[in-house]
Amino acid sequence: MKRQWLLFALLLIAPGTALGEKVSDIIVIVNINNSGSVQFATPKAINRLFSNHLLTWPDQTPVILYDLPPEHPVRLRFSESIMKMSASKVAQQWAHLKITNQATNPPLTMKHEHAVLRKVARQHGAIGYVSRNALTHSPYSSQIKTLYLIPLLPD
Amino acid sequence: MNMAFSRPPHRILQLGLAITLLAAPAWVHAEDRVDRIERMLERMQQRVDELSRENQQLKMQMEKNSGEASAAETVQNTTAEAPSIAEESATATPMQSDNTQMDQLNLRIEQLETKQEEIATSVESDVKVGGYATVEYRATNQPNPNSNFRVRHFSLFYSKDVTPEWELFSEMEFEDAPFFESLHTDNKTAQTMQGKFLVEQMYIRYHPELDWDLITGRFLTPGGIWNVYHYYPFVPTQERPFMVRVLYPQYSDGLQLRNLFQFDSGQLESHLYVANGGGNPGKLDRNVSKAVGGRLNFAPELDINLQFGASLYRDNDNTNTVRTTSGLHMQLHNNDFGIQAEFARRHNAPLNGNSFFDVSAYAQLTYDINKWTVAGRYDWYNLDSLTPLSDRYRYTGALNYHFNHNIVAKIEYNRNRLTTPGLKSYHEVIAAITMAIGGY
Repeated sequence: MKRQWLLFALLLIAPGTALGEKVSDIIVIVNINNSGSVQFATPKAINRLFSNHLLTWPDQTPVILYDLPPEHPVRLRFSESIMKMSASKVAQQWAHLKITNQATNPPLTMKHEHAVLRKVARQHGAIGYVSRNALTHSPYSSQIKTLYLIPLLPD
Repeated sequence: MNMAFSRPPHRILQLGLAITLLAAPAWVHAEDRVDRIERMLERMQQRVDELSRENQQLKMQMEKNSGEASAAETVQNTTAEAPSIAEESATATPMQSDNTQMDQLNLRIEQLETKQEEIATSVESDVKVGGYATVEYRATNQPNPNSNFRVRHFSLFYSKDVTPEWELFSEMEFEDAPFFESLHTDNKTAQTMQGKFLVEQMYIRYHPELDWDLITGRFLTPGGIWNVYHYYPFVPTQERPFMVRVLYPQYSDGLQLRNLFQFDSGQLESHLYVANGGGNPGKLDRNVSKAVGGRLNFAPELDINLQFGASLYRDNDNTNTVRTTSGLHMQLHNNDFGIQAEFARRHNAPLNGNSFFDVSAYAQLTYDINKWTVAGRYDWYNLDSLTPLSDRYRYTGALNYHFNHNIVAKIEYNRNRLTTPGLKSYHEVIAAITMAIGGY
């Protein structure tokens, strides 16, 4: 029994398992037809979009924001790099805005990267973020363009 | 233990519970279906990816075989053509079969995704039910009340986007486990009343654009920060600062216009409202004048998350006292560090009597360490500028553990210092668990 618990604990912390999971580069993505998005290809501009400081694209199309769940490893990296806050803290702030009905344009949370890719491929004003792996193997990759790449940090 | 727990609740509470029970299962059931379809889509997509890779490998093998076959043809006669055709047919069949299978799978994925979107749209168009709950244990060195468990909050939010432009939003609060019962000796009075049941918000919202909306009904009075942003899963303490619900009314029944202005330098949010004023029931205004107020909040474009602003509220209330509150607020988050501070001063001018001010201010620091938040707050309230020794001070230290972003355990210590003669200073420890439900 002890050996089983030890093995379980080792598996938890070993690379490649749930807690030791690494993500590839993270790509911030927009719809292929969103020509005005090129001026937002910086971390600061993306932060403004995901903070509701910008509500429309240059062509007045409403911005539609897509998030992954707060515990998703891709979101953890996105939050650290772009939002400069932990994913949990960002989620708390959005939750507080939503529960008070003061949120103007809150992100829509999708459970899987595939769902984010599909939404961005089909909606002109959509913006989201996924891992490079997910984008490479996606059937929607031809309808999506990369806005910004968040590189993998070295160990 | 209170015998009241064994008695059935009042009909108002039964109605609220019935609405929740009717709405919640349908919403949860639809969410379950969306989850199942999403999992199926994941498995289908994985299968498509596998077949795609196999297809790629088969193509490469075919090209290799074709290359070898044409090299062989230069030294052999053309009678090899028939076997070559037979060979090509034999290798082409598995690839064609995989292509057909892949096309079918792609079509099936498309159908499932369409169904998933229809269900998701249906879920979104349902009445949204959410809320939060808090249970506390309070220990104090005051003689009254005794240290106690407290079933403090149970708030339910119902909202619905009736059309893309029109929304109904409501918040019903059941504080301290309300209990009302009549012995039916007459048809007017409740014999037993405990706790509080309050319609804290109920408004109709018109929002044709993202950057402005008009709401009418009962809404939280937009003054400062904590008067609006006070929900217990998302604030570090159970005790609220002194000024909250005192210098601005807790809620207002009236009309409010909200605007959002985007500039290169930042974002400005404005609230303007007119209302019946504090101390009035939902049915009527007990005096002829209306309360007016406004709030501005500016968030500059900086690398740190900063916002600051000012609020104003004026009312000639039911005691014929003109009360004018003005305040400043600020909030800053930088990585794991946060500061929140407010100041408000109210001028009170009774019709018969001397004018006086009451003033309050607080400053709160927070620091996040992974799932923990450490918080400290200094709070001060001067009740009456004309009366010496009318100050209250509270020094708070708090520790929060976030199980996730909407479930929090808290422990806080409050030292309350009262300068008014005859009132004793006291200490208080509060342990609490609080959670939000419903997609927050």
